[in-house]
Amino acid sequence: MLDVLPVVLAALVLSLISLYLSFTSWLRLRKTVAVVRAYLGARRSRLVKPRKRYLVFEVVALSGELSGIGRGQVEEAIERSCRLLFGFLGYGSMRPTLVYYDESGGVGILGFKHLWRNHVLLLLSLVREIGGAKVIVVPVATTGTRRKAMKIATKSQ
Amino acid sequence: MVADLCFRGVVDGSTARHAYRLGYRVVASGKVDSVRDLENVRVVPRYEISRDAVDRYRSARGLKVLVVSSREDLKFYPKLSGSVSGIRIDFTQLTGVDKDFMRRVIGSRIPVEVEFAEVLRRVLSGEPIDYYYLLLRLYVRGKVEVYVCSGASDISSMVHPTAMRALISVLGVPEDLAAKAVLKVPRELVSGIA
Repeated sequence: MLDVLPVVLAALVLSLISLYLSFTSWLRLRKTVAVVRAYLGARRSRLVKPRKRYLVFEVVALSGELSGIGRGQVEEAIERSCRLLFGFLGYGSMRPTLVYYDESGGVGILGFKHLWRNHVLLLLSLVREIGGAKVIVVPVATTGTRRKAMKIATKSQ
Repeated sequence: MVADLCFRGVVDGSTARHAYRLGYRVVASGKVDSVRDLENVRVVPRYEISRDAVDRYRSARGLKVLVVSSREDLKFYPKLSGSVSGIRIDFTQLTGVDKDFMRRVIGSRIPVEVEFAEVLRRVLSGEPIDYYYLLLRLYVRGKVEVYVCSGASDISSMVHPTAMRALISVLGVPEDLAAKAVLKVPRELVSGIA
């Protein structure tokens, strides 16, 4: 029995080492497969139908009065921010549209195409001043229908 | 729990209320020296340290960020693990980002900080952001960990977490990884402190 023990121990150690090596190679392979898949997925171009999305946002006044900010000023500020960040081409592609704005509560709804969601969120963060008042625009929710966006907007007021 | 790991201004009551409104529950600021609660927001100290000061801040409780302005700052990078929470690369002072430097950044296994305000400032002033693209590419490939912070200096420059996520998504990072960089990685970094 004692003669066999060293052999058993050596076999156990070898099997543990091989288990460790196979596990680490599997992890490395998994990462490689993920990278290749991502690369192939990116190369395969798909024509995606743009879908309408509605972003409910809230204008928070840091200084000045919120009631002094009109719909036209909000629209202008969003357009200016969009052109500054993404240029005329980006603005033309994105066409963010102010669907609704409540001047008393500072809550609005912006319509856009779903492909530009991140761009819209980014450009809203650039809006820091509207009509002379220092503001910050807080995104509340994004929905697929105008009706649901209105529901969320009225709830936020 | 959403955390902003880089607030450069003074955190007072109104700032904390505003941060809470934006969704932040933890804010790391360089203007405080102890952990405190303010208007339901936990404020933790943030120390920006040079390579020489790493040992001095070893026992400090807070977020320790190593400012890398030359490749020598990442010398003996295995020793940095556990001593600093994050790395902030000062690309304006760094001369020459080459393979050796990136190998050190990857090998240190310390999350790299991407500051929203700094990236946006560069974009709007027409300055190159190639190094940020490089960092984010490495992040997507799983080579480095990245976290995004606001870099705000006052209330008016604070941004919603979705805007930070949107920025790196626009720069090419997939949505799930962008969310991880804004939400999960900062949360893990402050979990031991806050």
